[in-house]
Amino acid sequence: MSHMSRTQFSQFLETLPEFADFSPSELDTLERIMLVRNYPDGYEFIREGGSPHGVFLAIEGEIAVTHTRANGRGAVELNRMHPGELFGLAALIDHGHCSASCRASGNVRVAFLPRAAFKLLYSANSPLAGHFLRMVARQLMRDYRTLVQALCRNIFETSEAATSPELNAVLFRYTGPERRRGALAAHN
Amino acid sequence: MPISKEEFSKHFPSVMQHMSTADVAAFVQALTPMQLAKGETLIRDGESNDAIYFVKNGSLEASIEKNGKKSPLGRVVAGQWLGEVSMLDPGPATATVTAISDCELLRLTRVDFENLDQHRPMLMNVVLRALSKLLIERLRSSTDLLIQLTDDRRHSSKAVRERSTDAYAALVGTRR
Repeated sequence: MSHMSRTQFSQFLETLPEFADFSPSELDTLERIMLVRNYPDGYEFIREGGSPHGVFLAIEGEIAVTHTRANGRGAVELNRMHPGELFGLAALIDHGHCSASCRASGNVRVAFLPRAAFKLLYSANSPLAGHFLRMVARQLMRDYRTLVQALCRNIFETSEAATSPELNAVLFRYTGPERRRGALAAHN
Repeated sequence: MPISKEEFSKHFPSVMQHMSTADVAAFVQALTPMQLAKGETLIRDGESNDAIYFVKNGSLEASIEKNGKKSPLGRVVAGQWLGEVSMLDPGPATATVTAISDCELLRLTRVDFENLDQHRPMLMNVVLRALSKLLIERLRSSTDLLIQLTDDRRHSSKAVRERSTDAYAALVGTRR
């Protein structure tokens, strides 16, 4: 995996819709505070049950989102994160537990914004912090509307909404480990 | 008559947390008081909503309706607010909200919200963070309830409906 210069990272950010509102100087600041590194296959960015220390941005390669089966035999893959996707965004708002693990699938390159760096930006009233807060809000809204649609189907149509893949992805983003185990027992 | 910042802080302490005195003053100034008579509908499910409402006095009922079937979700009471989802994401409203008593509300329109965002972005960061935190909590409560559906579904469609309605109420932030 080749080295990525700061300019290349900035250019990469410019291509992402999530960063469309960022000014060139803000992207420059992000280059300086985000840690861009290569990670080997299997590297664990987020451990289920733990609290992530910041937000991650996939640059190259794939990240597998998995969780352990209730019976302890292996893991179920929920989702795959691709270049340009952010994960761990809620960590910027609170210290809730993660109910899924995020691991490198093959060699990957990932940028990391530590929660501590975000807090500094926030305390310094940086507009950058505002942009990140808006990103979090947008993700929350997407998840909110997914849940609303699924619940509406359950209330009025009694469909298979409770087990749809989209809904599962949302459920496991917000549900604590104890609840998750119960759900997995039912799924498996 | 506009509400004073002291009065607003008393009714809605969680919104005011982490705001400076100057920010509170600017925020309160952007709010418009309004009255809603018992039986009047404030927000209609599926229609666009362009404001967030802080309930100063009175109670409202949230419900959803489809194919002529209505499902009540619970009440929004004094000290709570509603409409924040449409404010953060200009999509259709996710519930119908009707006054079940005469209500006093404080309205912050999207235009006011955007003005504040433009002129006092740091204040809006505080508001945005508070709203996001609230939504994360609601999503967690709702998904906790929804997870239980995986078991309920084996029993009866009535149980599925009831549990889904509870989860929906948690999502909308009403009290059942």
